[in-house]
Amino acid sequence: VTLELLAVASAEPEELPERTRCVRVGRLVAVVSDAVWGSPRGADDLWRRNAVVEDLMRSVTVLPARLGTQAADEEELRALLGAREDELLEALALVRGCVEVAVRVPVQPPEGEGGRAYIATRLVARARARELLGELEPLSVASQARTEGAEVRAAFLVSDDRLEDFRAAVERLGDGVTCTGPWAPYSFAGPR
Amino acid sequence: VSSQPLTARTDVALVDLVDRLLGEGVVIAGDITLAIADIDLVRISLRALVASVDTLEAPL
Repeated sequence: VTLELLAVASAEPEELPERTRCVRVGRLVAVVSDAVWGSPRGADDLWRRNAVVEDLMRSVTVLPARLGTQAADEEELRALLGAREDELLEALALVRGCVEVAVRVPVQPPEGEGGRAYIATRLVARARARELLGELEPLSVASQARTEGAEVRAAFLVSDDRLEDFRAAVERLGDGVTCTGPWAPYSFAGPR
Repeated sequence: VSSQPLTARTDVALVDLVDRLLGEGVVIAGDITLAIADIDLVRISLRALVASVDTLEAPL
């Protein structure tokens, strides 16, 4: 493996982060690194990788690649990205002018004796968490959520100019809700 | 390149970063996407790193 895909961009960025270069694939621009980043050894490595994507976002619309997305050479990269050109262009159009905000809502632990009561309270708790997240939906362009352990993890695609309104709405949801971002649109980059 | 990160590097944000870098993003179909061999080890070590955060996901 000689190439690692860092992001798919709408155009060539004004400034390329260190140790990266562009490979044009039709109307897409793949930003790649020749030196494979390899396994991250800790949080710092992940933050560095995220910073590269954020640098690109200053001048172009980007779809970040999942960690470990690699290709043998440019030819292979062109073939595989080219086959999905339309789909990726659609995703780029969706995320244009937007950032991602992560919101996590705790799900109350189930109560009661026996399986039925347990499941019933668990369902109510999940529904409640999703209801809270539903209040944020009108302020977003797209959203997705999944239950993971004791919380619902949601990702919202928010237009730059509504970010402050969105943050204010999250504040109103109250205690226990955590919110991080803005992030690059990681959760809206893959196939849906 | 010196840059002001969009997201503060907090432990809470690290949970969300791990979710995004390892679970989201563009994937190229087929054999081009090579899972990093020890990606599970990475997850485990990062979980340990953020273990002090109450919002850490429940153990599997």
